[in-house]
Amino acid sequence: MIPRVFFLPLLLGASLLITGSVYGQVQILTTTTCPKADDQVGLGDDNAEHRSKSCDSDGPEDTRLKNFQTWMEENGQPEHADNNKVKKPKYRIRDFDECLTGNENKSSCYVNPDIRPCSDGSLPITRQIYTIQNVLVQQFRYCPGDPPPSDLPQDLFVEQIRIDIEKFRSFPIKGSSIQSAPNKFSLRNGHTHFWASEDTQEFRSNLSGSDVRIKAIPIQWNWNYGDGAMRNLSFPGEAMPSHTLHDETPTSHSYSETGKFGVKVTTLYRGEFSVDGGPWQAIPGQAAVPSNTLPIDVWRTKKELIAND
Amino acid sequence: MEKSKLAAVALAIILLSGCNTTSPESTPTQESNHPSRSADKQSSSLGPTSSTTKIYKPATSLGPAENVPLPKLPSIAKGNSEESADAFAQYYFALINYTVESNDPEPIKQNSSRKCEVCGTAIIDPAGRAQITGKWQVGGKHKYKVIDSYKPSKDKAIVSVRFEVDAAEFYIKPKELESRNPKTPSKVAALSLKYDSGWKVDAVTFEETRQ
Repeated sequence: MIPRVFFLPLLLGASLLITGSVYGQVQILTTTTCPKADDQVGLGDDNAEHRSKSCDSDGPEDTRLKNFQTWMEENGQPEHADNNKVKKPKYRIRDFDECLTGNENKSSCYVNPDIRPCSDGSLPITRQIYTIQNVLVQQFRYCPGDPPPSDLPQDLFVEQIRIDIEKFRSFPIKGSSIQSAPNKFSLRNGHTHFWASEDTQEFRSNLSGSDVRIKAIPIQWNWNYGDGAMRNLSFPGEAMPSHTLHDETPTSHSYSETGKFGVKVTTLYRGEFSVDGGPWQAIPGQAAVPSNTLPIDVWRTKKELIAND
Repeated sequence: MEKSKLAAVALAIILLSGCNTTSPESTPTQESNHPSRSADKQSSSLGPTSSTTKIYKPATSLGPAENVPLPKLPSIAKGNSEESADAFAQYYFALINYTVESNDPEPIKQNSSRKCEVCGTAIIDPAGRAQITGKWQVGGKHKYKVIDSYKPSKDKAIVSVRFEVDAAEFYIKPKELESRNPKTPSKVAALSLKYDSGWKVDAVTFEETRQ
Protein backbone atom coordinates (compact mmCIF):
# COMPACT_ATOMS: atom_id res chain seq x y z
CA MET A 1 0.00 0.00 0.00
CA ILE A 2 1.51 3.30 -1.05
CA PRO A 3 1.00 5.99 1.55
CA ARG A 4 -1.35 8.80 0.51
CA VAL A 5 0.92 11.53 1.88
CA PHE A 6 4.63 11.38 2.12
CA PHE A 7 7.72 13.53 1.83
CA LEU A 8 10.44 12.96 -0.69
CA PRO A 9 13.87 14.43 -0.07
CA LEU A 10 15.37 15.98 -3.17
CA LEU A 11 18.96 16.12 -4.30
CA LEU A 12 19.52 19.76 -3.52
CA GLY A 13 17.75 19.84 -0.22
CA ALA A 14 14.41 20.97 -1.54
CA SER A 15 11.41 18.87 -0.73
CA LEU A 16 8.32 17.82 -2.62
CA LEU A 17 5.01 17.20 -0.98
CA ILE A 18 3.04 14.58 -2.82
CA THR A 19 -0.62 14.24 -2.00
CA GLY A 20 -3.04 11.77 -3.42
CA SER A 21 -6.46 13.19 -4.20
CA VAL A 22 -9.72 11.27 -4.05
CA TYR A 23 -9.04 9.86 -7.47
CA GLY A 24 -5.46 9.02 -6.75
CA GLN A 25 -4.12 11.83 -8.95
CA VAL A 26 -0.63 12.79 -7.94
CA GLN A 27 -0.16 16.46 -7.32
CA ILE A 28 3.28 17.71 -6.66
CA LEU A 29 3.64 20.83 -4.61
CA THR A 30 7.13 22.10 -4.56
CA THR A 31 8.81 24.23 -1.99
CA THR A 32 11.45 25.49 -4.38
CA THR A 33 11.25 27.42 -7.57
CA CYS A 34 11.43 24.89 -10.30
CA PRO A 35 11.93 25.44 -13.99
CA LYS A 36 8.83 24.38 -15.88
CA ALA A 37 10.35 21.07 -16.80
CA ASP A 38 7.96 18.55 -18.24
CA ASP A 39 9.64 15.27 -18.86
CA GLN A 40 6.90 12.68 -18.43
CA VAL A 41 5.93 11.14 -21.74
CA GLY A 42 2.34 10.09 -22.39
CA LEU A 43 -1.25 11.10 -23.05
CA GLY A 44 -2.24 10.32 -19.48
CA ASP A 45 -3.96 13.18 -17.52
CA ASP A 46 -7.18 14.96 -18.36
CA ASN A 47 -5.17 17.63 -20.02
CA ALA A 48 -2.11 16.18 -21.62
CA GLU A 49 -0.65 19.62 -22.04
CA HIS A 50 -0.11 20.22 -18.37
CA ARG A 51 1.55 17.44 -16.55
CA SER A 52 3.02 17.51 -13.08
CA LYS A 53 5.92 19.81 -12.54
CA SER A 54 8.92 18.72 -10.59
CA CYS A 55 12.38 19.86 -9.74
CA ASP A 56 14.15 16.88 -11.17
CA SER A 57 15.98 19.13 -13.57
CA ASP A 58 17.77 20.90 -10.73
CA GLY A 59 21.48 20.35 -10.74
CA PRO A 60 23.99 20.19 -13.54
CA GLU A 61 21.35 19.38 -16.22
CA ASP A 62 19.47 22.56 -15.49
CA THR A 63 21.36 24.77 -17.90
CA ARG A 64 20.85 22.33 -20.73
CA LEU A 65 17.11 22.38 -20.21
CA LYS A 66 17.12 26.15 -20.43
CA ASN A 67 18.19 25.89 -24.05
CA PHE A 68 15.75 23.12 -24.79
CA GLN A 69 13.79 23.80 -27.94
CA THR A 70 10.27 22.50 -28.08
CA TRP A 71 8.70 20.73 -31.03
CA MET A 72 6.78 23.83 -32.06
CA GLU A 73 9.79 26.13 -31.71
CA GLU A 74 12.39 24.01 -33.46
CA ASN A 75 13.38 25.07 -36.96
CA GLY A 76 11.95 28.54 -36.83
CA GLN A 77 8.42 29.84 -36.41
CA PRO A 78 5.93 27.85 -34.47
CA GLU A 79 2.96 26.89 -36.58
CA HIS A 80 -0.61 26.89 -35.44
CA ALA A 81 -3.57 24.79 -36.34
CA ASP A 82 -5.47 25.57 -39.54
CA ASN A 83 -8.61 26.66 -37.76
CA ASN A 84 -6.84 29.67 -36.28
CA LYS A 85 -6.18 30.96 -39.77
CA VAL A 86 -9.76 30.76 -40.97
CA LYS A 87 -11.34 34.16 -40.44
CA LYS A 88 -15.00 33.38 -40.95
CA PRO A 89 -15.29 29.71 -40.27
CA LYS A 90 -18.27 27.66 -41.35
CA TYR A 91 -18.92 24.38 -39.63
CA ARG A 92 -20.54 21.09 -40.34
CA ILE A 93 -21.48 18.16 -38.15
CA ARG A 94 -20.49 14.53 -38.47
CA ASP A 95 -21.84 11.89 -36.10
CA PHE A 96 -20.78 8.32 -35.53
CA ASP A 97 -21.72 5.47 -33.23
CA GLU A 98 -18.85 4.07 -31.23
CA CYS A 99 -20.54 0.84 -30.27
CA LEU A 100 -23.39 -0.29 -32.43
CA THR A 101 -24.41 -2.57 -35.24
CA GLY A 102 -22.59 -1.77 -38.42
CA ASN A 103 -19.43 -0.77 -36.65
CA GLU A 104 -18.05 -4.28 -36.18
CA ASN A 105 -15.29 -3.73 -38.71
CA LYS A 106 -13.80 -1.11 -36.41
CA SER A 107 -12.62 -3.61 -33.82
CA SER A 108 -15.37 -5.17 -31.79
CA CYS A 109 -17.27 -2.98 -29.38
CA TYR A 110 -16.86 -3.92 -25.79
CA VAL A 111 -19.00 -2.96 -22.87
CA ASN A 112 -17.34 0.18 -21.66
CA PRO A 113 -18.17 1.30 -18.13
CA ASP A 114 -16.99 4.81 -19.08
CA ILE A 115 -19.85 5.17 -21.56
CA ARG A 116 -23.12 5.84 -19.81
CA PRO A 117 -26.33 5.41 -21.78
CA CYS A 118 -28.60 8.38 -22.48
CA SER A 119 -31.58 8.86 -20.17
CA ASP A 120 -33.90 7.02 -22.60
CA GLY A 121 -31.67 3.93 -22.78
CA SER A 122 -30.09 4.67 -26.17
CA LEU A 123 -26.32 4.92 -26.48
CA PRO A 124 -24.74 8.35 -26.91
CA ILE A 125 -23.53 9.45 -30.31
CA THR A 126 -20.06 10.76 -30.89
CA ARG A 127 -20.42 14.14 -32.57
CA GLN A 128 -17.59 15.77 -34.48
CA ILE A 129 -17.61 19.39 -35.61
CA TYR A 130 -15.53 20.19 -38.67
CA THR A 131 -14.78 23.40 -40.48
CA ILE A 132 -15.77 23.19 -44.12
CA GLN A 133 -12.04 22.84 -44.78
CA ASN A 134 -12.34 19.50 -42.95
CA VAL A 135 -10.45 20.56 -39.84
CA LEU A 136 -11.78 18.85 -36.74
CA VAL A 137 -12.49 21.49 -34.09
CA GLN A 138 -14.50 19.61 -31.47
CA GLN A 139 -15.51 16.10 -30.56
CA PHE A 140 -17.97 15.19 -27.83
CA ARG A 141 -20.55 12.63 -26.76
CA TYR A 142 -24.09 13.60 -27.49
CA CYS A 143 -27.55 12.43 -26.42
CA PRO A 144 -30.71 13.38 -28.36
CA GLY A 145 -32.10 16.57 -26.84
CA ASP A 146 -28.74 17.83 -25.58
CA PRO A 147 -28.24 21.54 -26.25
CA PRO A 148 -25.91 22.42 -29.14
CA PRO A 149 -22.41 23.62 -28.19
CA SER A 150 -22.81 27.11 -26.76
CA ASP A 151 -19.51 28.32 -28.17
CA LEU A 152 -20.54 27.66 -31.78
CA PRO A 153 -23.59 29.64 -32.94
CA GLN A 154 -26.03 27.67 -35.09
CA ASP A 155 -25.88 30.17 -37.97
CA LEU A 156 -22.24 29.24 -38.55
CA PHE A 157 -23.25 25.77 -39.61
CA VAL A 158 -23.64 24.97 -43.30
CA GLU A 159 -26.86 23.34 -44.43
CA GLN A 160 -26.44 19.65 -45.08
CA ILE A 161 -28.94 17.25 -46.53
CA ARG A 162 -28.68 14.93 -43.64
CA ILE A 163 -31.06 13.13 -41.37
CA ASP A 164 -29.81 13.51 -37.84
CA ILE A 165 -31.14 11.72 -34.82
CA GLU A 166 -33.56 14.51 -33.92
CA LYS A 167 -35.09 14.49 -37.39
CA PHE A 168 -35.17 10.69 -37.40
CA ARG A 169 -37.11 10.67 -34.15
CA SER A 170 -39.64 13.13 -35.52
CA PHE A 171 -41.02 10.50 -37.94
CA PRO A 172 -44.03 8.53 -36.67
CA ILE A 173 -42.10 5.35 -35.92
CA LYS A 174 -44.44 2.74 -34.51
CA GLY A 175 -43.44 0.78 -31.45
CA SER A 176 -43.56 -3.00 -31.41
CA SER A 177 -46.82 -4.71 -30.55
CA ILE A 178 -46.52 -7.41 -27.94
CA GLN A 179 -48.36 -10.64 -27.29
CA SER A 180 -48.23 -13.33 -24.67
CA ALA A 181 -48.99 -17.03 -24.36
CA PRO A 182 -51.27 -17.67 -22.61
CA ASN A 183 -52.99 -14.56 -23.88
CA LYS A 184 -52.98 -11.85 -21.17
CA PHE A 185 -53.08 -14.52 -18.52
CA SER A 186 -50.56 -16.49 -16.52
CA LEU A 187 -49.99 -18.60 -13.47
CA ARG A 188 -47.58 -17.80 -10.69
CA ASN A 189 -44.12 -19.32 -11.29
CA GLY A 190 -45.13 -20.41 -14.78
CA HIS A 191 -43.11 -19.35 -17.81
CA THR A 192 -45.23 -16.82 -19.65
CA HIS A 193 -44.01 -16.54 -23.22
CA PHE A 194 -43.81 -13.02 -24.65
CA TRP A 195 -42.91 -11.86 -28.12
CA ALA A 196 -42.84 -8.55 -29.94
CA SER A 197 -43.23 -7.54 -33.55
CA GLU A 198 -40.17 -6.69 -35.64
CA ASP A 199 -41.09 -4.25 -38.39
CA THR A 200 -38.73 -2.18 -40.47
CA GLN A 201 -40.59 1.01 -41.38
CA GLU A 202 -39.99 3.38 -44.24
CA PHE A 203 -40.72 7.11 -44.55
CA ARG A 204 -40.31 9.77 -47.20
CA SER A 205 -39.44 13.40 -46.79
CA ASN A 206 -38.61 16.39 -48.95
CA LEU A 207 -35.58 18.32 -47.78
CA SER A 208 -34.32 21.33 -49.75
CA GLY A 209 -35.94 19.92 -52.88
CA SER A 210 -34.39 16.48 -52.48
CA ASP A 211 -36.39 13.30 -52.13
CA VAL A 212 -35.19 11.60 -48.98
CA ARG A 213 -36.15 8.08 -47.94
CA ILE A 214 -35.74 7.01 -44.34
CA LYS A 215 -35.74 3.51 -42.88
CA ALA A 216 -36.26 2.66 -39.21
CA ILE A 217 -34.83 -0.76 -38.36
CA PRO A 218 -35.54 -2.33 -34.94
CA ILE A 219 -32.40 -3.55 -33.18
CA GLN A 220 -33.21 -3.91 -29.49
CA TRP A 221 -36.22 -4.68 -27.30
CA ASN A 222 -36.10 -3.40 -23.72
CA TRP A 223 -38.75 -5.33 -21.76
CA ASN A 224 -40.46 -4.12 -18.63
CA TYR A 225 -42.61 -6.89 -17.14
CA GLY A 226 -44.48 -4.66 -14.71
CA ASP A 227 -43.33 -6.56 -11.62
CA GLY A 228 -40.03 -4.70 -11.36
CA ALA A 229 -38.21 -7.07 -13.71
CA MET A 230 -36.61 -5.61 -16.85
CA ARG A 231 -34.27 -6.90 -19.49
CA ASN A 232 -32.83 -5.83 -22.82
CA LEU A 233 -32.79 -8.28 -25.71
CA SER A 234 -31.41 -8.03 -29.23
CA PHE A 235 -34.21 -10.23 -30.65
CA PRO A 236 -38.00 -9.90 -30.45
CA GLY A 237 -38.96 -13.52 -29.84
CA GLU A 238 -41.60 -15.31 -31.89
CA ALA A 239 -44.93 -17.07 -31.56
CA MET A 240 -44.65 -20.62 -30.24
CA PRO A 241 -47.99 -22.40 -30.74
CA SER A 242 -47.13 -25.46 -28.63
CA HIS A 243 -45.77 -23.48 -25.70
CA THR A 244 -46.91 -24.41 -22.18
CA LEU A 245 -46.20 -22.69 -18.89
CA HIS A 246 -43.60 -25.37 -18.17
CA ASP A 247 -41.44 -24.21 -21.06
CA GLU A 248 -38.92 -21.50 -20.47
CA THR A 249 -38.18 -19.61 -23.71
CA PRO A 250 -35.58 -16.96 -24.61
CA THR A 251 -38.28 -14.32 -24.18
CA SER A 252 -40.42 -15.79 -21.40
CA HIS A 253 -40.86 -14.35 -17.94
CA SER A 254 -41.93 -15.94 -14.69
CA TYR A 255 -44.01 -13.99 -12.16
CA SER A 256 -43.39 -14.90 -8.55
CA GLU A 257 -46.47 -13.04 -7.32
CA THR A 258 -50.09 -13.00 -8.34
CA GLY A 259 -51.76 -9.82 -9.50
CA LYS A 260 -52.36 -7.62 -12.51
CA PHE A 261 -49.29 -6.37 -14.35
CA GLY A 262 -48.70 -4.19 -17.39
CA VAL A 263 -46.02 -5.44 -19.79
CA LYS A 264 -44.27 -2.94 -22.05
CA VAL A 265 -41.38 -3.02 -24.46
CA THR A 266 -39.32 -0.08 -25.62
CA THR A 267 -37.93 -0.77 -29.07
CA LEU A 268 -34.71 0.86 -30.19
CA TYR A 269 -34.65 1.67 -33.90
CA ARG A 270 -31.56 2.58 -35.87
CA GLY A 271 -32.03 4.66 -38.97
CA GLU A 272 -30.77 4.86 -42.53
CA PHE A 273 -31.45 7.46 -45.16
CA SER A 274 -31.01 7.83 -48.90
CA VAL A 275 -31.00 11.13 -50.79
CA ASP A 276 -32.47 11.13 -54.33
CA GLY A 277 -32.01 7.40 -54.72
CA GLY A 278 -28.40 7.53 -53.51
CA PRO A 279 -26.74 4.99 -51.23
CA TRP A 280 -28.25 4.25 -47.84
CA GLN A 281 -26.35 6.02 -45.07
CA ALA A 282 -26.52 5.18 -41.40
CA ILE A 283 -28.03 7.67 -38.96
CA PRO A 284 -26.02 7.48 -35.75
CA GLY A 285 -28.06 7.11 -32.60
CA GLN A 286 -31.37 5.35 -32.06
CA ALA A 287 -35.02 6.19 -31.62
CA ALA A 288 -36.53 4.63 -28.51
CA VAL A 289 -40.23 3.90 -29.12
CA PRO A 290 -42.57 2.53 -26.44
CA SER A 291 -45.07 -0.22 -27.23
CA ASN A 292 -48.65 -0.70 -26.16
CA THR A 293 -49.11 -2.00 -22.63
CA LEU A 294 -50.19 -5.62 -22.46
CA PRO A 295 -52.21 -6.34 -19.30
CA ILE A 296 -51.43 -9.66 -17.74
CA ASP A 297 -53.38 -11.33 -14.96
CA VAL A 298 -51.35 -13.73 -12.86
CA TRP A 299 -53.26 -16.32 -10.82
CA ARG A 300 -52.24 -18.65 -8.10
CA THR A 301 -53.02 -22.28 -8.60
CA LYS A 302 -52.31 -25.78 -7.43
CA LYS A 303 -49.74 -28.02 -8.99
CA GLU A 304 -52.33 -30.34 -10.56
CA LEU A 305 -54.00 -27.45 -12.30
CA ILE A 306 -50.75 -26.38 -13.97
CA ALA A 307 -50.11 -29.94 -15.08
CA ASN A 308 -53.57 -30.18 -16.57
CA ASP A 309 -53.33 -26.86 -18.35
CA MET B 1 16.30 -12.57 -42.60
CA GLU B 2 13.78 -11.32 -45.15
CA LYS B 3 11.42 -14.10 -44.26
CA SER B 4 11.62 -13.43 -40.57
CA LYS B 5 11.05 -9.74 -41.20
CA LEU B 6 8.01 -10.55 -43.28
CA ALA B 7 6.76 -12.79 -40.54
CA ALA B 8 7.24 -10.04 -38.01
CA VAL B 9 5.35 -7.59 -40.19
CA ALA B 10 2.56 -10.12 -40.70
CA LEU B 11 2.42 -10.68 -36.97
CA ALA B 12 2.25 -6.96 -36.39
CA ILE B 13 -0.62 -6.65 -38.87
CA ILE B 14 -2.49 -9.48 -37.19
CA LEU B 15 -1.99 -7.83 -33.83
CA LEU B 16 -2.97 -4.44 -35.22
CA SER B 17 -6.24 -5.77 -36.51
CA GLY B 18 -7.04 -7.58 -33.30
CA CYS B 19 -10.27 -7.01 -31.47
CA ASN B 20 -9.08 -6.81 -27.90
CA THR B 21 -7.52 -3.87 -26.17
CA THR B 22 -4.00 -5.17 -26.17
CA SER B 23 -1.79 -2.96 -28.20
CA PRO B 24 0.40 -4.16 -31.02
CA GLU B 25 3.58 -4.40 -29.14
CA SER B 26 6.60 -5.10 -31.19
CA THR B 27 8.65 -7.95 -29.97
CA PRO B 28 12.36 -7.94 -29.33
CA THR B 29 12.93 -10.11 -32.37
CA GLN B 30 11.34 -7.52 -34.60
CA GLU B 31 14.00 -4.87 -34.26
CA SER B 32 16.36 -5.71 -31.53
CA ASN B 33 19.29 -3.44 -32.21
CA HIS B 34 17.67 -0.24 -31.14
CA PRO B 35 19.55 1.41 -28.32
CA SER B 36 17.81 2.86 -25.33
CA ARG B 37 18.12 6.44 -24.23
CA SER B 38 20.88 5.66 -21.79
CA ALA B 39 22.82 3.52 -24.20
CA ASP B 40 23.29 5.88 -27.09
CA LYS B 41 21.39 8.99 -27.98
CA GLN B 42 22.88 9.47 -31.41
CA SER B 43 21.71 6.31 -33.09
CA SER B 44 18.07 6.94 -32.45
CA SER B 45 17.11 6.93 -36.10
CA LEU B 46 15.54 4.00 -37.85
CA GLY B 47 18.66 2.43 -39.31
CA PRO B 48 20.13 -0.59 -37.62
CA THR B 49 23.66 0.09 -36.54
CA SER B 50 24.82 -3.19 -35.26
CA SER B 51 24.49 -6.78 -36.31
CA THR B 52 24.70 -8.20 -32.82
CA THR B 53 21.37 -9.02 -31.24
CA LYS B 54 20.79 -6.94 -28.15
CA ILE B 55 18.22 -8.13 -25.70
CA TYR B 56 15.22 -5.99 -24.81
CA LYS B 57 14.94 -5.22 -21.13
CA PRO B 58 11.87 -3.40 -19.82
CA ALA B 59 12.27 -0.50 -17.40
CA THR B 60 12.34 -1.27 -13.68
CA SER B 61 12.91 0.81 -10.59
CA LEU B 62 16.59 0.03 -11.08
CA GLY B 63 16.96 1.55 -14.52
CA PRO B 64 15.38 2.53 -17.82
CA ALA B 65 14.39 0.08 -20.52
CA GLU B 66 17.13 -1.14 -22.81
CA ASN B 67 17.06 -1.97 -26.50
CA VAL B 68 13.40 -1.05 -26.83
CA PRO B 69 12.17 -2.56 -30.10
CA LEU B 70 11.11 0.08 -32.60
CA PRO B 71 7.64 -0.58 -34.04
CA LYS B 72 7.64 -0.94 -37.82
CA LEU B 73 5.26 0.89 -40.10
CA PRO B 74 2.96 -1.81 -41.48
CA SER B 75 2.85 -1.73 -45.28
CA ILE B 76 -0.93 -1.21 -45.22
CA ALA B 77 -0.35 2.10 -43.37
CA LYS B 78 1.68 3.48 -46.30
CA GLY B 79 -1.27 4.04 -48.62
CA ASN B 80 -3.75 6.89 -48.38
CA SER B 81 -6.95 4.90 -47.98
CA GLU B 82 -9.16 4.98 -44.89
CA GLU B 83 -7.78 1.57 -43.89
CA SER B 84 -4.26 2.94 -44.18
CA ALA B 85 -5.12 5.88 -41.95
CA ASP B 86 -6.61 3.44 -39.45
CA ALA B 87 -3.41 1.34 -39.47
CA PHE B 88 -1.24 4.44 -39.25
CA ALA B 89 -3.10 5.69 -36.15
CA GLN B 90 -2.40 2.37 -34.47
CA TYR B 91 1.24 2.57 -35.51
CA TYR B 92 1.39 6.06 -34.01
CA PHE B 93 0.14 4.76 -30.67
CA ALA B 94 2.72 1.97 -30.85
CA LEU B 95 5.30 4.74 -31.33
CA ILE B 96 3.93 6.57 -28.28
CA ASN B 97 4.55 3.42 -26.26
CA TYR B 98 8.01 3.14 -27.77
CA THR B 99 8.72 6.76 -26.75
CA VAL B 100 7.37 6.17 -23.24
CA GLU B 101 9.84 3.34 -22.82
CA SER B 102 12.85 4.69 -24.65
CA ASN B 103 12.55 8.51 -24.31
CA ASP B 104 13.67 8.54 -27.94
CA PRO B 105 11.51 11.15 -29.72
CA GLU B 106 13.05 10.84 -33.19
CA PRO B 107 10.75 8.20 -34.72
CA ILE B 108 7.60 9.95 -33.53
CA LYS B 109 8.96 13.29 -34.77
CA GLN B 110 9.18 11.80 -38.22
CA ASN B 111 5.49 10.96 -38.03
CA SER B 112 4.21 14.23 -36.54
CA SER B 113 3.68 17.57 -38.20
CA ARG B 114 5.03 20.78 -36.70
CA LYS B 115 1.46 21.95 -36.28
CA CYS B 116 0.71 19.20 -33.81
CA GLU B 117 0.83 20.88 -30.44
CA VAL B 118 -0.20 17.87 -28.34
CA CYS B 119 2.41 15.71 -30.11
CA GLY B 120 5.00 18.19 -28.86
CA THR B 121 3.75 18.93 -25.39
CA ALA B 122 2.71 15.40 -24.41
CA ILE B 123 5.22 13.18 -26.20
CA ILE B 124 8.11 14.75 -28.10
CA ASP B 125 9.17 17.53 -25.72
CA PRO B 126 8.84 15.45 -22.53
CA ALA B 127 10.96 12.73 -24.13
CA GLY B 128 13.61 15.25 -25.14
CA ARG B 129 13.67 16.73 -21.64
CA ALA B 130 13.75 13.30 -20.01
CA GLN B 131 16.84 12.47 -22.04
CA ILE B 132 18.50 15.46 -20.40
CA THR B 133 17.14 15.00 -16.88
CA GLY B 134 17.67 11.26 -16.94
CA LYS B 135 14.12 10.49 -15.91
CA TRP B 136 12.57 7.17 -16.83
CA GLN B 137 9.19 5.63 -16.26
CA VAL B 138 8.03 2.19 -15.30
CA GLY B 139 4.57 1.48 -16.72
CA GLY B 140 2.69 4.21 -18.56
CA LYS B 141 1.79 1.91 -21.42
CA HIS B 142 -1.03 3.07 -23.70
CA LYS B 143 -3.66 0.48 -24.59
CA TYR B 144 -5.69 1.54 -27.56
CA LYS B 145 -8.16 0.67 -30.25
CA VAL B 146 -9.53 2.52 -33.23
CA ILE B 147 -13.25 3.26 -32.87
CA ASP B 148 -13.82 5.32 -36.00
CA SER B 149 -11.97 6.49 -39.05
CA TYR B 150 -13.17 9.08 -41.52
CA LYS B 151 -11.60 10.42 -44.68
CA PRO B 152 -13.29 13.67 -45.71
CA SER B 153 -10.82 14.41 -48.51
CA LYS B 154 -8.00 12.81 -50.43
CA ASP B 155 -5.22 13.89 -48.11
CA LYS B 156 -7.03 14.09 -44.77
CA ALA B 157 -8.26 11.51 -42.31
CA ILE B 158 -9.54 11.70 -38.76
CA VAL B 159 -9.10 8.54 -36.72
CA SER B 160 -10.68 8.29 -33.27
CA VAL B 161 -8.83 6.04 -30.85
CA ARG B 162 -10.09 4.97 -27.45
CA PHE B 163 -7.13 4.52 -25.13
CA GLU B 164 -6.16 4.16 -21.52
CA VAL B 165 -2.79 4.63 -19.88
CA ASP B 166 -1.36 2.27 -17.30
CA ALA B 167 -0.17 3.68 -14.00
CA ALA B 168 3.40 4.96 -14.20
CA GLU B 169 6.21 5.43 -11.73
CA PHE B 170 8.97 7.90 -12.48
CA TYR B 171 12.59 7.59 -11.43
CA ILE B 172 15.75 9.63 -11.78
CA LYS B 173 17.86 7.51 -9.48
CA PRO B 174 17.47 3.75 -9.06
CA LYS B 175 14.93 2.71 -6.44
CA GLU B 176 14.04 6.33 -5.59
CA LEU B 177 10.47 6.94 -6.64
CA GLU B 178 10.32 10.50 -7.93
CA SER B 179 6.59 10.67 -8.74
CA ARG B 180 3.81 8.56 -10.07
CA ASN B 181 0.72 8.87 -12.23
CA PRO B 182 -2.37 6.73 -11.62
CA LYS B 183 -3.96 4.65 -14.36
CA THR B 184 -6.18 6.89 -16.47
CA PRO B 185 -9.76 5.89 -17.30
CA SER B 186 -10.34 5.34 -20.99
CA LYS B 187 -10.57 8.42 -23.19
CA VAL B 188 -10.87 9.13 -26.88
CA ALA B 189 -8.24 10.97 -28.88
CA ALA B 190 -9.06 11.98 -32.45
CA LEU B 191 -5.92 12.03 -34.57
CA SER B 192 -6.16 14.40 -37.53
CA LEU B 193 -3.89 12.93 -40.19
CA LYS B 194 -2.53 14.52 -43.31
CA TYR B 195 -1.16 12.61 -46.27
CA ASP B 196 1.84 13.80 -48.22
CA SER B 197 3.73 10.75 -49.52
CA GLY B 198 2.84 9.24 -46.13
CA TRP B 199 0.57 9.99 -43.18
CA LYS B 200 1.55 12.39 -40.43
CA VAL B 201 -0.33 13.44 -37.31
CA ASP B 202 -1.43 17.04 -37.78
CA ALA B 203 -3.43 17.47 -34.56
CA VAL B 204 -4.70 15.52 -31.57
CA THR B 205 -8.17 16.42 -30.26
CA PHE B 206 -9.42 14.90 -27.02
CA GLU B 207 -13.09 14.00 -26.89
CA GLU B 208 -15.04 16.00 -24.34
CA THR B 209 -17.49 14.21 -22.09
CA ARG B 210 -20.51 16.39 -21.55
CA GLN B 211 -22.55 13.86 -19.63
